[in-house]
This record gives sequence, C-alpha cells and structure tokens, in this order.
Amino acid sequence: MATMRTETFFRVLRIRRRSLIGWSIATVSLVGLIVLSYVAIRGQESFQTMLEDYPDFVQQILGLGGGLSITSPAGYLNSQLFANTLPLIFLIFLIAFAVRETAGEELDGTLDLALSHPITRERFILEKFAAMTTAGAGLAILSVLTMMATSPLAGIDIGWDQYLGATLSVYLIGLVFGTLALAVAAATGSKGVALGVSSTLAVGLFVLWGLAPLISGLHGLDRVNPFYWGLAGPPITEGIQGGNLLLLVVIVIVLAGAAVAGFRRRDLGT
Amino acid sequence: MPKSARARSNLPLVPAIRLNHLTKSYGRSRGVIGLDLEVEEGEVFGFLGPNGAGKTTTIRTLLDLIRPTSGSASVLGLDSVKDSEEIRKRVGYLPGELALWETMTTRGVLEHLGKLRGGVDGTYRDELLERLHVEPDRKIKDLSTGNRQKIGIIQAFMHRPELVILDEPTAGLDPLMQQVTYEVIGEARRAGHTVFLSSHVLPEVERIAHRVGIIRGGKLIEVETVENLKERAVKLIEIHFGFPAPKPENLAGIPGITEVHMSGDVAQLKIGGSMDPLVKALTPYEVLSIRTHETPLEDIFLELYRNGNDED
Repeated sequence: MATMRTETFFRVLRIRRRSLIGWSIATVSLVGLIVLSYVAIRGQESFQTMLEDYPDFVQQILGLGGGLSITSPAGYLNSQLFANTLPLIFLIFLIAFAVRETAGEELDGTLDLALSHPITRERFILEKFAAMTTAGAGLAILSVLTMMATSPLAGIDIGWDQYLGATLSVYLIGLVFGTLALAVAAATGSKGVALGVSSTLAVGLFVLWGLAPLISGLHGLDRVNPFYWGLAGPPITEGIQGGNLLLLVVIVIVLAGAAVAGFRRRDLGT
Repeated sequence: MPKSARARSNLPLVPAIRLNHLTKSYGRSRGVIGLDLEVEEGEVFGFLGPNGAGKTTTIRTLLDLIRPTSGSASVLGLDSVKDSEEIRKRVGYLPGELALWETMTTRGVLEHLGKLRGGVDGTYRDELLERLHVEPDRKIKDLSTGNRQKIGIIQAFMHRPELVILDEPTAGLDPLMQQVTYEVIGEARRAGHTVFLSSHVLPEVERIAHRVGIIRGGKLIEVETVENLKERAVKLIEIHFGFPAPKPENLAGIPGITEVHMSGDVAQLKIGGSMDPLVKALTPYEVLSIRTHETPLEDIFLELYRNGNDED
C-alpha cells in the first residue's frame, strides 16, 4: 500500500503550512536584515576596540572567539547570526515542532484516532521526525539563499559553501535538541518534561561551550557538546566541516532511534 | 445474525473478541481486573457500565493503545499486542473522547484516515456523509460536538470492517442521528459483522444489542443476553377484579409474587419469572382487566449495580 507510506508526514506539513509560512517570512526577514546591517558596522574599528576589553567568555559566547573581528564580514555574521540568532531560531522552531507533534497530539487526543489505524508506532514517530527535519531544512535553505542574495548588497564577499556550512551546522544543532525533545516527548507523553529537558540542556550546553576555553577542567568536556561541533571553526570561515556535521547527524540518528524505542512499548494517554 | 457469518466461512469459529483474564492496573483505583469475555462473530455486544468503570480501558487495550498488565486479549483470533497492526487493519474504532485535527476539513480528515488505512472505497463513506447530513467541506473547528461525532462514526464504518468497536457512539447526537447510527449498526450486523459498543445509556443497548456485559469498578459483574435479562426482570401487574375480589393473602401465596398491594378491587403485584402460576390461580375470580408493566432494563441495571456495591 504505497499510498499510506508517507500519509502522516504530509498531513503534518499540510496542517502546519500556515505556521511554516510565518516562520519562513520571519527567518528570511531577520537574516536579510542582519546581513544588510553590516553596512553600519563596516569600518567602525571602535566596536572592535570596545569588544576587545570584554572577557573571553563573552567574546566566545558572542561568536568572536579565536581573534575574529566584529568589523570583518565573517566576524560580524558569526557574532550576529550564527553564534546566537540562527541557532535560537532553529532551536525554538524544532523543539516546538517536536513537542507539538508528539506530546501535543497525545494531549489533544488525535493520537488515539491516528494510531487505531494500521500504522506502526515506529513509522508514525519516524514520519513525524521526517516532517520536522524537512521543515527545518526548508528554513535552512531559505536562510542560505537570503544570505547569498543580500550579502553583495552589504558589500560582503563570502562563498556559498561557507554560508551553507555555517547554516547546516546551526540547523543540525537545532535538530539535535529538536530530536531530543521528540525522544523525551515520545517516551513520556509530557509536553512540559520534553520542553524542559531539551531547552534546559540547550541553554546549559550553550553556556558550557562559552566557558569551556576558560576553565581547564572543561576542556575535554566540550568535545561532548553539540555546540562545539556546530560552532567551532567557526564554519563561516572554515566552510563545510564534514566530520563535525557527520557527528551531529549521528547524534540526531541515535536520538531518533531513542524516540522510536520510547514510543513503541508505552501506554498512550487519552 | 451470527449464523450467516458462520455459514460463509468454513474456518473454525473464532470469537471476534476474547478477553483472557485481562487486567490493566493504573496505580490504585482505575483499570480493569481479571476480565474474561467472549464476543461472538456477528453479534452486537453492549458493554455497559457507569463512567470510570473500565470500559474505555478495555477498549483501548483491544487496539493496543495501552497494554495489558496481565492476561491477554485477542481480536479476530489475533493477539492484541503481537498482531496489532493486522487487527487495526480489520477493525473500525470510534474513540470515546473523539478528537479530530481542528484545522482540517471533514473531507480532509476522512481522506487522511482512508489513506492511512489504504484501499478504502469511497462510496460507502459518501453515502454515510449524506445520510448523517455532514457537510464535508467545513473545518473541524467550526463543527458542533454532534457533527464531530458523526465524522467519528463515518470513519469507523466507512471501510465496512468485520469488527466495529464503538466507545459511547451516540454521545452528543440528536435522536434523529442516533437513529441513523442504529441503522448503520444494523447494516453492519446484517452483513455478518460484529459490533462491540460501550454505553452508559441502557435503552440504547437494549434496543440494538444481543448480549450485554456489565462492568463496574473494573470488574465484569454480569454477561447475559438482553432477552434473559428482561426475563429476570420483576414485572409490575395491575389486576382489576370483579366481585368478590380475592384477599391479599390469597394472592401473596402464589409462587413468584413478591409484593401485593390491594386497594378496593384493584391489586398491584410484583412478580418475578413466569406468569403461569398467577394466571392459573386467578381462574376462580372475575378478572376485568390486567395491565402489565415491564421493568425497563434500566432498573435491572440499577439492581445489579446495587448488588455489586454490596459486595464491596
């Protein structure tokens, strides 16, 4: 029955199309605005002097670690977009998506109806995962296209592969925590627990990523931090870092497997 | 009736539903305890009980939405946990608290569910849409509870499943639409399909079911045909005598009579079981009229329910 294979996947995207359009418009506007605002920073060396007085932790958190200058195109984009705004967009979008589509549907009660049909729980949760991944990838592609379209206007000369590498990295960070939220929601059926666990871990690990270079005890630890694999480099100067991206993909796959396992044997709530 | 369904297949008879000491516990109070039940292929079975008695818990176990703590359930001869996908392929289900995707249209919901199932022929669905007066292009969020319930009923029947499991099917429906629902259930029955429906409304079950199971506090306290239940019922009889009327003690001695109340020439009696001894005992008297009132199943239910309480 080939017709049923991706029925849930398409239903989710169809139902969410309005919200997806809203997120697309917001993301494109925000990314475009940030890129274009570079004209205001370019050549203002006083910004750089001011930032150099900030503690290393703040520079790292701002995306200006490793001697990046905020007045350079890469430093500007990293500090304004890739180290904070864009990861935040993906984190919020993907976590909310995951929680809404699992625990949210369970709470609404529509899960009972869907799963009383001949679809396995494995497939159901994987189609939800696929819908989340696809929607997030859509936002990522739009972001890259917006960067490529607006950067010449702001006098920024950065290659598409750097944009792609940097955007993919933060998208995958978002996907790690989105899939974590999916796994927790699938295993518990609780929106609160899923939101709490995934967002607390995201914020905590982000802060740890900022602190890691400063505290010697944390040095090894940042190797288990998705933010390290997504932000180190940084990808906006290094381009596509295949190994780092692959590692994030592996984490996502493991978490998706956990979501399936957690959902499979559980009693569903009414 | 069951026979027509049996006649069509030469396979050994498997019950449509079989509960084998099914237990589902949730902490202290809710859940079901040690349910044993067989529902035959082709029968309409009413699963009765007050809210919170365990009807929905039992039904959701059949569809593998929840799993038994101990014991087991089989549906169409298949294990409710191991063969769940195959069961769900062959069953239609109406949830007790039906929820639909708010932003989709009726048509969208039915098409989605049809595709999830695969191979659903749209003609019966469209016929049901018409008979239940559903406008297919309105969004779910704009529909009343009753209209949503109609969609739930349509999706449970539209693929003409051999077993339909309905959790409180007529909740929220106006009497006319309840009638249509009974007709649809009747059609399924005539096609040899099995219908398992839960209800806390007795007249409904009395009307359409062959047998009922009564569940209370998670325990099945009675499984009986509707006919037998009614037979067991106490009847109220009012006899208008000519002259001379019998004395109350003459009537009280008749087997089966449990209560006698005389006022003038009119006797009001309560009788259980057969009326035969009474009728024979009345021959010496002039009887002007006899009126009987059958106890509604409701009272039998309440009786059972009370007895159940006493056991605690």
